Amino acid sequence: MNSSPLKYRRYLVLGIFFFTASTLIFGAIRLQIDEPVDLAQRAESRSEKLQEISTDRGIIFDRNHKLLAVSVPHHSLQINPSQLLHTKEHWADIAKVIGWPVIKLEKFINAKNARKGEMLQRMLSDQQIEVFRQLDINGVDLMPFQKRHYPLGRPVSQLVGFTDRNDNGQEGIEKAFNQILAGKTGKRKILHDAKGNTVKTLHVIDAVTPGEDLRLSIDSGVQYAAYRALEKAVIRENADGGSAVVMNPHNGEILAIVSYPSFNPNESSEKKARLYRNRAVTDAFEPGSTLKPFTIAMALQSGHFFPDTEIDTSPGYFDLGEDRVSDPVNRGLLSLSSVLTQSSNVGSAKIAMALPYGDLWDILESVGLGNKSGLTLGGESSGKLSFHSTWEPIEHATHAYGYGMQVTLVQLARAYSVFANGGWLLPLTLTLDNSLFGKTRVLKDDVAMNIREMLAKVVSEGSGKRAKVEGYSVAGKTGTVRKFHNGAYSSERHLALFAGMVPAINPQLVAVVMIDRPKNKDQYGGQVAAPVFSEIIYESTRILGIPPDVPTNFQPLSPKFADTNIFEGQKN
Amino acid sequence: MRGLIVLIISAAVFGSALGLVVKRQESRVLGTRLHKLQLERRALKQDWAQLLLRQSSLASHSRVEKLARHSIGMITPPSITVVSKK
Repeated sequence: MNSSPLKYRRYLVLGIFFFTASTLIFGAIRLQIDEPVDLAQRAESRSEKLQEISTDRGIIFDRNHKLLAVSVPHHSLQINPSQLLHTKEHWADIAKVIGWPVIKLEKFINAKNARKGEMLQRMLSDQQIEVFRQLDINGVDLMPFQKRHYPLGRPVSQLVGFTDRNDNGQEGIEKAFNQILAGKTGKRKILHDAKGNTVKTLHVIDAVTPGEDLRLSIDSGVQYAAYRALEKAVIRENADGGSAVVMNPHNGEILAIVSYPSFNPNESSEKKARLYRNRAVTDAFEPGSTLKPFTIAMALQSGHFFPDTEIDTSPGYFDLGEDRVSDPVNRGLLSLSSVLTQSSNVGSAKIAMALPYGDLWDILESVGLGNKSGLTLGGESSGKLSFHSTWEPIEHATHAYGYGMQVTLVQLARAYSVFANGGWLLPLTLTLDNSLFGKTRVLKDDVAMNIREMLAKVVSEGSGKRAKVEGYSVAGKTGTVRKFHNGAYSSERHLALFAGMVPAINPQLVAVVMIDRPKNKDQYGGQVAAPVFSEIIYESTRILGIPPDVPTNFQPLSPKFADTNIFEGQKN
Repeated sequence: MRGLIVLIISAAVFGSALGLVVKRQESRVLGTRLHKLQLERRALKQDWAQLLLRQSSLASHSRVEKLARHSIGMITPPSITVVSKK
């Protein structure tokens, strides 16, 4: 063994020891003498804590990215009266910015002199914030908070809903999509100093998930037009209220869903529970005559009836035990088509009774009645359709013309879409996400077409004349429903209904209108609800750019247009 | 030979320890930066929200309709006069 490597190693080890020891000593001396900082205090004041990372609620848009709901940061003014009591020189400044007389502020501070935090003004303008930031007065704090704004107000308030003070969805879309909109606050562990300043982030425990924006299928233009038409009608007809739904029958997208009376979600004083209800979704009613097309569809689908099959409705009534089914007058011999244009109860009941109970129940169930419509809104009613094995003979008859069962307005719109789109039942949707799209064929294409032709006749020559829209062929059905009141059907309380589609040949839109308890002399669906339908469709077709399909007889405005065919180039 | 292995392993351990320190520091710096950027994103989104709100109140249906009808006297065209281009 050689001695020199051993020696070398010994010196090396010693050298390392010496170096380490002197570094430590030097460091200790430097900390104790050179840096006059109270390290003990610094160590104490720095500590770890969990900090929340907050996030903002997502924005709600309509289908064209128009704003429906947004959270915007604001500041409220909070003062510390016990602190301000000793700095009277600032009072004049504060009073001036918030537009108070100094004497009022003085009283306020004196009255709350023991308090440490008092709200002085709930919402400050940008200029006020700027001034307070410059003044930088001790005892005056700007407290940030988020406020939800609903720029469209009343026309869309029941649908969109609103949030509570803590930004949790309380009603409508805000509630139904709360999880997506709210996101998730994150958490991180930080090292902070005595003043609360973050020294450094130690690590993120929960990553923050920002609230997602939401785009609805609603077209705010159509929504606004529908609301306006409905509002006018309810006031004109002296009615209790009303609602309307406009939808695309080919993909189940709701374009408008309105109820009246409504409320302004930006004014807390207007928030009354009875106004929150989205009547088109929550309220079920007997559909009356608007159900008859489904009875006719059942008849055609069975193969035993054809559009020209004649039904004898004389003498205008028939009895089932103690109950009587009747028409206002004896309508005599009616074709299937005339049963609809003349809206004959006797005809509808006789058609249904020629077939088994199950046939009628099957068709009503298959077009979505008695089931939820696919909307994810809370409080949706399923309506009421009892199973046919429980029916009495009279119930079989009344179901054929829409009594003894209940539907919601959205269910009715969805059911009429089956006629409009050639026989398919679609789930309804309020968003543009159609990934869950599942459609079922429930009617033969030619049956749906036959019904559309009959419904077009209801508008061109029957009870629905006032649903006409210039330039378009319209198909639809009126309904005047007696309301059940004090245990009996009232002859004074009605629901006026209209359900229809345009253009009749190849429908692009389905709309249904319900006016609750009109109190003028005329209370029929054809007089009260049909004009609202016409107005909504007139505006909607223009907004959505649906080309007219019926050339109108018109006088050209000027010679320039004399030989121009305005419908050229618009055929699909 | 054994000495060489020990040396290599020691160097590797030392290197990895240094690497850990460096990476931990990097992760803190990035974490802080991420947080800053998230705050910035939030502030920008809030600005955007305010601008959206202003835009929508200026372009609200009722305001536009009022201006169109009363200030500049526009009317809803009767459907007869709707002309579409080829």
